[in-house]
Amino acid sequence: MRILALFKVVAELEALTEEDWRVDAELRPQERYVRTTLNPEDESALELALRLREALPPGEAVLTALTIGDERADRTAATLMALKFDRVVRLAPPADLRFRPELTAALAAAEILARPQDLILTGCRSADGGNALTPFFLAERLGWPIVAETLSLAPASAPEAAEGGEETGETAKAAETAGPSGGASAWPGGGLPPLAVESLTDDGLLRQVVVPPLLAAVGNAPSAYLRVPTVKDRLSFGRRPPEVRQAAKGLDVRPRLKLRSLTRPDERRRVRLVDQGAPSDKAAILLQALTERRP
Amino acid sequence: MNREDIVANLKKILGADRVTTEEQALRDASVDRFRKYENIRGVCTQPVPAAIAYVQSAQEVSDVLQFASEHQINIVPRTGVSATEGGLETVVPDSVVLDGSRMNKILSIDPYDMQATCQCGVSLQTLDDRCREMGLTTGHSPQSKPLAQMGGLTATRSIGQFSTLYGGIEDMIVGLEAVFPNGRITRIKNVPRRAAGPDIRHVVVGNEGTLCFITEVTVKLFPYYPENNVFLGYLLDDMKLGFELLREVMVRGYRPSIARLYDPEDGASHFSHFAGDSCVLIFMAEGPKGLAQATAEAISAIVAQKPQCRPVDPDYIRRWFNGLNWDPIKVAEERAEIIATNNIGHTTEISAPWSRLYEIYEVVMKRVRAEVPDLTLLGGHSSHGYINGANIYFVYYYNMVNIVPEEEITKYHLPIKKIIVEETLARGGSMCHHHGVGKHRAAWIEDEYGSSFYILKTLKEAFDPRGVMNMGDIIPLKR
Amino acid sequence: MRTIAFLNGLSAALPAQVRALQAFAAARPALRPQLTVVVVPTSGVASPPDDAPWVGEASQAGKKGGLAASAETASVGPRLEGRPGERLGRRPAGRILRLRTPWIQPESLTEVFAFLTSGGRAEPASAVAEALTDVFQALRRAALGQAPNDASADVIDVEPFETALFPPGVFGAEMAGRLAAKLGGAAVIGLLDVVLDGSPPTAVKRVYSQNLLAGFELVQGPYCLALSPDWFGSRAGRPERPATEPADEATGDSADDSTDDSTPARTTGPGAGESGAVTPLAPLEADLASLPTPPRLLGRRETPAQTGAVLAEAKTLVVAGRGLDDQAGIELAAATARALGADWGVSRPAAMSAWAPLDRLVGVSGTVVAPRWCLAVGLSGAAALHAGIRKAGFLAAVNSDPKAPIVGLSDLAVIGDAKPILQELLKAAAEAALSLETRPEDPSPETQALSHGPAAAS
Repeated sequence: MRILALFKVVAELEALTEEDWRVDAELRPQERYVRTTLNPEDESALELALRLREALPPGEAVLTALTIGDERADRTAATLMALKFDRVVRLAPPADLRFRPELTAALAAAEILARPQDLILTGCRSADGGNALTPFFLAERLGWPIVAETLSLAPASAPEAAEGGEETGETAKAAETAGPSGGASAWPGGGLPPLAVESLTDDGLLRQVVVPPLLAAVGNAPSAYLRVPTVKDRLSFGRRPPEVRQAAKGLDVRPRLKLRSLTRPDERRRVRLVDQGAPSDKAAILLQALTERRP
Repeated sequence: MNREDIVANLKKILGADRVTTEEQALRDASVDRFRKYENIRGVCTQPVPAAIAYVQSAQEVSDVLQFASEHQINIVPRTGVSATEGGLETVVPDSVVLDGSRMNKILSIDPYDMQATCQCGVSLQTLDDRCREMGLTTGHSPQSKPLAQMGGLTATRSIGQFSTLYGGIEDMIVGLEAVFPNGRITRIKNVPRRAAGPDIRHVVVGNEGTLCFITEVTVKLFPYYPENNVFLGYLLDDMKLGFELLREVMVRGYRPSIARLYDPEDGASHFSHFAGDSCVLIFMAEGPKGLAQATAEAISAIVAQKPQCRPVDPDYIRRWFNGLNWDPIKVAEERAEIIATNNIGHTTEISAPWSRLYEIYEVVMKRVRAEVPDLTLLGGHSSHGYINGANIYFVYYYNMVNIVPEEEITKYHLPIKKIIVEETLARGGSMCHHHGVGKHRAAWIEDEYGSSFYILKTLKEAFDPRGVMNMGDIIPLKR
Repeated sequence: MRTIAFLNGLSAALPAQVRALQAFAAARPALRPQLTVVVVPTSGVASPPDDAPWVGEASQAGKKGGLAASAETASVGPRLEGRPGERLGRRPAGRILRLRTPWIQPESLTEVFAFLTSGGRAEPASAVAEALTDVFQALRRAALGQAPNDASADVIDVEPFETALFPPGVFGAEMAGRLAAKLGGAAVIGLLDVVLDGSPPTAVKRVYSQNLLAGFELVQGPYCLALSPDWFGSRAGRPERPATEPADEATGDSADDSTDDSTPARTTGPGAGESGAVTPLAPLEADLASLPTPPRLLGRRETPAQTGAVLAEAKTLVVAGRGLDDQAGIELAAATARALGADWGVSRPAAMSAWAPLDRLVGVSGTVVAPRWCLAVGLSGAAALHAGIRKAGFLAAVNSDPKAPIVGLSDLAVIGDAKPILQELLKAAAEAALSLETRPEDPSPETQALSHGPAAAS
């Protein structure tokens, strides 16, 4: 199974001071000087990719990581190499992609179509642009189904696929032909093992059993932090350089909207500060204030 | 005396609302950040103390210590709870944790005499913020600043990030008040200097709660000129060259407030957004404008003589510095990540003369890499310079593989510490630069002191004859 | 410019979605939907929930019990009801369509999940999106006077639809995204405000994890707009109004007075003859048997939210963050909340550490609340969380760091260790045995706004 994780490295927004949030002429806050970090939902996507590789038979999964960004992503690229991703690709962005999900999707799609994949994992939204659109645009370009707000995914067993949802004729048939081991070759869809995908809906939890190709957009996946490579692995594998290229040129993708203003909202209230006294005193003040809804 | 009686007596002395016996609070109070992993995992390997007692005056401290002396109850003094070496571990069963964090009044800030006096439970952040409002600063800025309080900072001989200019706590303390196990409340007055016998402040500063309980301190104040701060940053590929440049700056007589050298591993976790795989050399000059400028210019000139050093936009350095301190949010974040990734990190800091520093760094790196499994990060930086040497702060993270929580220390942390301590002591350095001995370096204390251990030991025998003050700290318990 | 609003008919969130769209559109005349499509994904016999309220004139039907009140539920099937050649009224203001999603139409679709459930609940999102796309496109084509692309499609005489409006939540965001992807238009997910009758049309949302407010010019139509869960109150100082009464709805859009309201909509479906009644469209059908590719969705099951927490309705709330150290700390906060008669939630870091179930998540990626009071304990006040609680009437915080952002954002900030203070508060609240939530003379901000009629609008 060829798995690709699309990730983005963003500035650590918590490190920005009030002054930093003032934007410049290009409508950017002062994010260049602070530390960078993996976009949280992409971090979960990368970790889910690694877990999926572990859950599949050895050698079954080929892992690629793709990012469109500048050299600030290189440390993360090295970490992913050290975690034994088979390929790590960094495309240098041709433009300010913050609010251009359609362009990001086009660039990613071009890269993906050049080296076909079976499963794509990426975060639903980035911590900076926050468009929450790239996965949908990418799925549309690839012509693939997409599951949004994915929480987890794992190989599904045949019985699971059979009883996972309400049954129809097709499901029963597929379950029959799969046999007890649910081996890949028995599944429809060209031999790719089906995946049990959990995702969030407005009403609760949705569990689907899907045969790839699939794009899973990862949302708030609990406890999905990226694992840490050992020093030995960094030295052995992390030293392989990522592939760095210019992104595809000449893509005719026009902006669908234009950023016109970026301001910092001020929602401060007139706070009464209480820092003296024992916990019981403070609790009494709180209780009174909440009862009367007055500080 | 059994636990119930201890608690009853404490309540009689202090009042019931000053004594905590809530189970989780007691379990948390039995350890400090050395055993953070056990604590996160809900494992309690240390004897649970009988109570946490909160004091609010020197007299109360005196009453409690007299009671403890009489009945031979082990007392562990604490204020900000940011200790990292096991100093707060209640290794003796039925200890009492004596907490001074409620003695949190700032008593005076005197801009004429340039001194500030406060009780032991004042947080350094609070004190320094208040001083800054007046255009002054304590000059003391350890990474634990948002958490640590003045009593503990004095008891551990702490040092801050600007020490190369301002010195460590020992250079900042003017006078203090401390209570001894026999109940004696002693006050050392505030004078700029005196030669009236040995400097007895140094019996108290650094005692780690093994001799007395600090209730009040007076520290020097300095003018605060943040607008004059000048930052300098360089990338280089040779750690040895970095140490040489640090030395050059110090030996020529310059006093930047920050002079730091990071190796690539440690550096990567801070500076990956601009440093790639290089070592990072950082300076900050502060103070009156002329002085700050001159210092910065001189340092630039020194480093410029080595073209291997590539200058970095100072703005990177300035912003990085703003985010360095350990506030409660970072601590909580750390807990979540440790659990999620099963990966944890600690530090060990040593000091040595210039001539031995790089050697120690090299051999430690080699040995730890070879002898300790599952490492995910091993690096170090030097951050406190003197005319005659500097420190090295080793940083190490590892995956915890196939262990129960208690084994983290025996499988990884102590073996690493052992290598660092041994290689440092063998080359004439000190195994504890500024974190204090705690419980976990006490095993090597006689090697650290050699023949002068006699002086340390006698102090303990003299001031704590009954053996009730933080036993097991600095001097190990006899088995 | 005309707007279609889309709602998820089988979600328990439908009533809240309707209210949100009603209130949002009420204050923005240019945005009032001319057509509201309630997606009721069924394969056949399932009927929509009885208690779903309705926009505009059909709210009268709603009073009788919602969707089911109309007779056409009798003939439920995988199609849009009606016949070719039917026309909607010239001003289909506030009309509601029941769209029953068809089976997949393979030749016009990228790979989608085959619709396999029966008697069932919600349909795979992609099939829904496809169906919405078809409706939208059919309506636009008709509006532009183009011939329908196949004989079974509808012919509708309506004005061009340029905006698709979606409710807050997962459904809305996903449908807006998918629709924009398929139609090539601009999407804004997390919309706070939009001005369509300006030139150019503009939209406002928060970016950089809620830290900054962004104003966008909408360049490419159709505009697919999904409301932010905290859009509420985004017009500073003005309470948002609910949808007006049906009578107002008919006189509605001030921008276009040339309508002949006296012409009743001609329909032959149920409810015919009443002005503004539901007018069915021609069916869109698909033939499952002609599917070229084997089905890739092998199973599907939806389970309701873990604890059924409905934080959005909470009148008083305690929100706990990672400053409480661990799950036990969160439990203490929850117990304190109960003693105070309040509900409780957590910040994202606490939820990500699995200290509480995901449906307790407060914030823009979880639930947005508008309680009378909110007590924020052990959380820093990062923008994403704050966006979820900023509507609180009274905001109190407990934090050990006086510099934490939450302090400046609160009415009362108590500095100290959270756990001991919570323990004391728990004790004190239990002793006082107060129920702090019932103050009949003082409604919550949301109730206040929604209950104000047109008279109170200014």
